[in-house]
Amino acid sequence: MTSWRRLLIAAPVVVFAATWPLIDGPGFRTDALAFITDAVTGWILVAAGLVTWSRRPDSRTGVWLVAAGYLWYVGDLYFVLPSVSIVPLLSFGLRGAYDVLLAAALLTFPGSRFSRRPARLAVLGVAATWGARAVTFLITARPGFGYPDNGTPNPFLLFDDGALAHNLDLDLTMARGVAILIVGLMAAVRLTRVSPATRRVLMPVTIGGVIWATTTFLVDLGALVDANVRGQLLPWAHAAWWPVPEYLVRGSAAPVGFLVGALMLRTARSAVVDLVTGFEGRPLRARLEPSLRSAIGDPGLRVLYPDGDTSWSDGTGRTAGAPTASPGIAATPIISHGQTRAVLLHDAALLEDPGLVGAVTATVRLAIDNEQLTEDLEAQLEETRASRRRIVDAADAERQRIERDLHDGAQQRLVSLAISLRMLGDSLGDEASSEVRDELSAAGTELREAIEELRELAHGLDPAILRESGLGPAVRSLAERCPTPTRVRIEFDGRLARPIEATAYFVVAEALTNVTKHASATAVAVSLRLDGGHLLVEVEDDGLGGASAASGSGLRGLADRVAAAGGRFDLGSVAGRGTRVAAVLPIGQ
Amino acid sequence: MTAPGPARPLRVVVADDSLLLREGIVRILERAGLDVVGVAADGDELLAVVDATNPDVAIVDIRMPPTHTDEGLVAVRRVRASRGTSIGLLVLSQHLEPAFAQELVTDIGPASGYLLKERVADAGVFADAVRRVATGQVVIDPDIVKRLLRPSPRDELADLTERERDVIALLAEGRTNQAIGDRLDVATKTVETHVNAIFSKLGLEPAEDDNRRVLAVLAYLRARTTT
Repeated sequence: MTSWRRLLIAAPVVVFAATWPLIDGPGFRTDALAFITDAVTGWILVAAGLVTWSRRPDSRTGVWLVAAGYLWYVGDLYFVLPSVSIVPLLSFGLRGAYDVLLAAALLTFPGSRFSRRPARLAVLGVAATWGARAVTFLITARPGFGYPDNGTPNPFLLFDDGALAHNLDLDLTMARGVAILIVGLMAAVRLTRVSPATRRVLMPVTIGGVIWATTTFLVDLGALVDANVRGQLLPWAHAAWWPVPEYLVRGSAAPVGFLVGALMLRTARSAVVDLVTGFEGRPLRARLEPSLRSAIGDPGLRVLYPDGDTSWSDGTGRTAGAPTASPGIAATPIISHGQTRAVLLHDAALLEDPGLVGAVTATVRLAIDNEQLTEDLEAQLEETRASRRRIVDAADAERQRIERDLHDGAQQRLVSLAISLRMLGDSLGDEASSEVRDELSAAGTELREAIEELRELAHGLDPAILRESGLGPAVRSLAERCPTPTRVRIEFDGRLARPIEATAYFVVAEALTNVTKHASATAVAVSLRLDGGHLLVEVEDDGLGGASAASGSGLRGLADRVAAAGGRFDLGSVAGRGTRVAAVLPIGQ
Repeated sequence: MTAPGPARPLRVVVADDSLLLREGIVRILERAGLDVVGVAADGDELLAVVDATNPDVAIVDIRMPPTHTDEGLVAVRRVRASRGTSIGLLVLSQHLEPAFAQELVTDIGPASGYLLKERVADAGVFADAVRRVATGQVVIDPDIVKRLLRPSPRDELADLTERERDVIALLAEGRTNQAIGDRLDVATKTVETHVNAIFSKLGLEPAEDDNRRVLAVLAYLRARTTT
């Protein structure tokens, strides 16, 4: 609340506290309850106006209510300043001005537009009857007749006829009472025509307004007919147990109703907060409609999405008709990047609060944009994952091809060459010199080493044991090859999908290679186990530690390869505490 | 099983899809004094040749057409199923995988062997392996045995003496006590003492049958990496 709004709401309280000792109007000092009720009534109107103003900044209703609150005190000026100049005359003559603003507020709250022309006329009727009565009073009232005499003559007095003045005042007051009764009836009718969301906040306002209108009418009618009738018209207001004067009943009912209604108004901000909270979770389309309905209190709200150029669907994907505005239903498009992303079909009454509609559409646009971006991003990610898988698969296929070529080509030829060399040596027999024999023997050794190297190369490319016997035997074979004593623990049988076996195998192979090269470990433990649709691979050594994916392309490549298989890779390596390489791979592929 | 007499050389068939290699193997075998009675380029041919020639030993490449994976193994199983242990089956492989060797000897039983392919160039070792398989022994390539004789996290092999280590290596290759004795130049009785000591230190059941001894030792060695 801004400071001037604080001032507005504090002013009546301060003024009344300050003037309390000065008040010497007849009867007032002796009836504290009436005095307080009177003071509070005006204050409630100011408060209701300020609340409405802050929740519906675009609406004039709030201003009207604040003004009505201050005009309420016009009738009290006499009690505060009874001996000052023409104050008593103005106080009695102009009182009831707040009725005009109250009537206007009653038929427009919480917006500021009259929904129908008769409503505007009815309010004009109240204004006209109030104006006529005020002018008549000012030009006909004589001090001591109609208002207390403080020694100051009435400077506006034109017709000094006490009886005429009295009768005219009663008649015009009655006319105003009728005009107010019409406003009350229109308010009751209006309640039946607004949307459920508006009806909720309009209910207390209308109840207060109808009480105000009917009691005003009855009080005026009673004054016109005679005092006895008046007592029969509002018997409770004259009963011994009733604490406040009837003018306070008619005066305070509407303000209380407005305050309650204003407090029930949802601010655009709180609607947006509700909305954003409701968007959590996905899919957004399914959540948008119910979130919007509860956030802005319009149970009939619909959200439709364009499907291509001509067709539409709702949040559940069902085909729907094209969204068009109809009487009482407004169509608000959500446009982003020049495209209509959705259309809200909602109670047209919401348009009375452009702030709310603007905030809600902006929020919905953000949410839709956000979901679109997320979808795009996920599609791209999936494409990236798929392409990474394809790269890995292609690389694996290529390794298999090279391994087969080596096995069926170079390896066979080298073995064949070894046989030829052997045959050559045998053929030469004892005839060969010892030098030739030594050369032959060296060549044979060289050849055997070449065959061994080639075999290790082929094995590294695409191990036959992995291909033919599966992950378990292949990992045991790795352990058998590892120079560091290696313990293997495998808690499953059978085969897994080839890409998973290959990935797991390369994790273990690379980890064991690192152990051999860098770890200076005395023991390694390899563990493979299945857990809830995942293969858990772990290689742990008791070596130096301090390994990092950044330090070697091997571990980095492993992480990439595991990610390509849709798994997670974890490297734990603290200097002096060994290294633990772990991968979790989904096996459901 | 036909006992080979000195008058009658062993009759063998060779199955390998590489013509070059097949011919080389045939020449090596013939030079070693064996009688090559047939050759085959794939599993089906091998079965036909074996049926036609009734050899003492079949030497089979593990990887043959059409899939180049384990056709040799499949063919060897079929031969074993149809002819029993009357034929020795020696598988040649380029894979230095103890698991493959163990699987083979477990599967095919006595009179079988697993040699690395380049072993064929070592005429003495190769011909010796063929002859041992023909007499019903189990033969495992020395390089495979060597791979298994590495230290393990809880190394019971550390309890073995230097000589016992030599003995267990030969034991795992499938040699008899007498052959081990010849190789190490000690009496067969001494070998028996070593073997019993090894079995007791490793907690293995003593076994009479040579093949069961080999399997026990292999299984033990391989199991050391697994808990």
